[in-house]
Amino acid sequence: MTLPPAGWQAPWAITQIGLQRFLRKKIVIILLFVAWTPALLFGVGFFAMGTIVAERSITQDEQIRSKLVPRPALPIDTVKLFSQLLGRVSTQDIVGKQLEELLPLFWRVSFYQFVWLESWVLLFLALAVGPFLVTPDIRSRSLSLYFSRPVSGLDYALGKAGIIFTLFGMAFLLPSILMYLSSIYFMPTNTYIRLTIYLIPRIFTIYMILSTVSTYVLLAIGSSCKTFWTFTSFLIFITLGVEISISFVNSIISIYPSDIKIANSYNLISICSILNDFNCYLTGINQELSRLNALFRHEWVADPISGQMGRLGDMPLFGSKNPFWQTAAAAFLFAAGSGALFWRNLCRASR
Amino acid sequence: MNIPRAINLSKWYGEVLGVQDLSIEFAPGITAVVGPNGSGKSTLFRLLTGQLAPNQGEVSLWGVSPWNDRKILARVGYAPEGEGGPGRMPALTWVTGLAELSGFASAAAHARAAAALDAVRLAPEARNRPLGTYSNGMRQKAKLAQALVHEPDLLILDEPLSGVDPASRIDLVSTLKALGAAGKTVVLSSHSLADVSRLTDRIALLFHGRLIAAGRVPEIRRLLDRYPYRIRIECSDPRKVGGLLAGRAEIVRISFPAPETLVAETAQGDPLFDALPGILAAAGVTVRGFFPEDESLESVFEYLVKDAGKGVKS
Repeated sequence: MTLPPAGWQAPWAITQIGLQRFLRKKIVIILLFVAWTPALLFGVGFFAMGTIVAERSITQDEQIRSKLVPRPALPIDTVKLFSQLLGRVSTQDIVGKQLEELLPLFWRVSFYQFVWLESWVLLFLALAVGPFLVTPDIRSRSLSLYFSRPVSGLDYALGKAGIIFTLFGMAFLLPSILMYLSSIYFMPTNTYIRLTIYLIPRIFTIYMILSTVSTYVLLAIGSSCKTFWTFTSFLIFITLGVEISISFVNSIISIYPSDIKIANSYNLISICSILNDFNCYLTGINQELSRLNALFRHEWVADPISGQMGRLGDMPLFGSKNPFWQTAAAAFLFAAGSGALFWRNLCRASR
Repeated sequence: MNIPRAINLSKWYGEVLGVQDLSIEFAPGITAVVGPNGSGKSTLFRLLTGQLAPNQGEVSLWGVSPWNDRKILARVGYAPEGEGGPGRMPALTWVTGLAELSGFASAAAHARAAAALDAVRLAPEARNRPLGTYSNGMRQKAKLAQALVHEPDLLILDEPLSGVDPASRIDLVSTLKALGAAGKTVVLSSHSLADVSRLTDRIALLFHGRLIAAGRVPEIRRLLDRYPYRIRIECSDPRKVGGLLAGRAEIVRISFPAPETLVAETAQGDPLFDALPGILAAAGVTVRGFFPEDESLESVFEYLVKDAGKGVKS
């Protein structure tokens, strides 16, 4: 006879079973590789530029050079060039700036670009994993195997959440931290670290929000229908679901005239917009300064309707004007609803 | 007694009845729960494993309700009907994961999984292959292994021999018999009465969610006294033997269904069976064999279901 598992052991075992299953899927491996590629490229790129160009550079201020030793440093021309290559900084942003002023901006821009890429990888990862999170357990009657052991529904839900959190951690959190660590390697003084350290808690916050929402939406949809429909439903969800819920929240709390409300609602009908808001919050980049702003702010549906009218950031949510928290609050509302739906489906499936 | 049991158990799904007022105890050894489709076997198993809450009555595993206290399920092994495992995962990995769910640390779980797969005789070279590539027999073995991996005291197996090839069937039957002989409480269901006969003579018959009979097959047969025992005698001169039997009080009917064959129907099987060697010797005929025709599980099942059907209609 055995002892029943400790509190954490059952969810962790379910997570392990799921991870072992998903890490055998080629698409998941490919997506994890793709998720790591930008971090590695940024890291290697910075290092290469820093070491090669710094050795040849004769234009740098000696005072700054002395601060850089023994670290390799990115010379100002390289920073300017790279920043422009990343496409998020206009020429006027960098003209006449010294290296000390440019480096924090440079890292923020790099991070912006990096997180933007990672967000898309996460979406595809959710699509690759979500349909196979719960449906196969229901179809193959694995639920009976779980629930005939000392495992509760909560253990099961936590275990499944653990799969998403772990995979998202591997795809987003770890490369983000690596990216940050490689960036501070090139920062000449502690001032730069102080200026950018806020990125770490924000990375965690965004990771938690994306993972939590994805988990519960995927569990809810995955426990409701077959694999194909889970896939399709999630696609529909990511293009409409969160946005509609945000629009709903906006319609409740907005004090703006109805035409602006409508414009703002439609302005949200794109996952690009959501990710962009997360990203702006994370990196602290003011999107109004971005020369590619139009591409991100005015989406294919929103453009003809919204025109030049209101911006998401203008609207208050529970007293906050921060678009990030506005989005996050609506997303958590959606997660709560999804969690309830998942629970109902789980009870029905295990009958 | 401190054994797994159900007391006045009822479960219904809306207007559909799962089980009704069912009371049964499961002693160590093998008990087969038999019954037609929809008779409530799977519902009973899910109630016993704490997956369903009873609407009335209670399930008690060694004095504890599995619905209220899931820790007791550490003493239960369950293999459901159907696929029962993710197709991409190798059996060893899968059983190891489920062993961890039962409370073992990683290394111990792996060792136990290997031992359980040994016990069900799953070929070592197959253990690292995905479950999706397995035959039905191999899959049933893997399912049995996951149920055994934590050495439970109570094993509940829903159709463990369904779709199994003859070679695997022999392996599984011998494994299950060994478990029963070792004092484990094994409760299983099967659509094949022949399989059940090979495993045990202790049955519980469910029909429309009710327990119709429970106990050893010969004991149940003895209670079915409205159905006379049929004893088939194959000998050189059946009519001469028939003449001798006709004088006995317990004989109800004698027929000659085939040449050199006699079937005697009797109200009391045992006395006639005991007396038969003497009667045949007195007749001076050549005897090829005599045996009861309807003491088998199949016959008992048929009689019980017939009676229950009548009862339901009335």
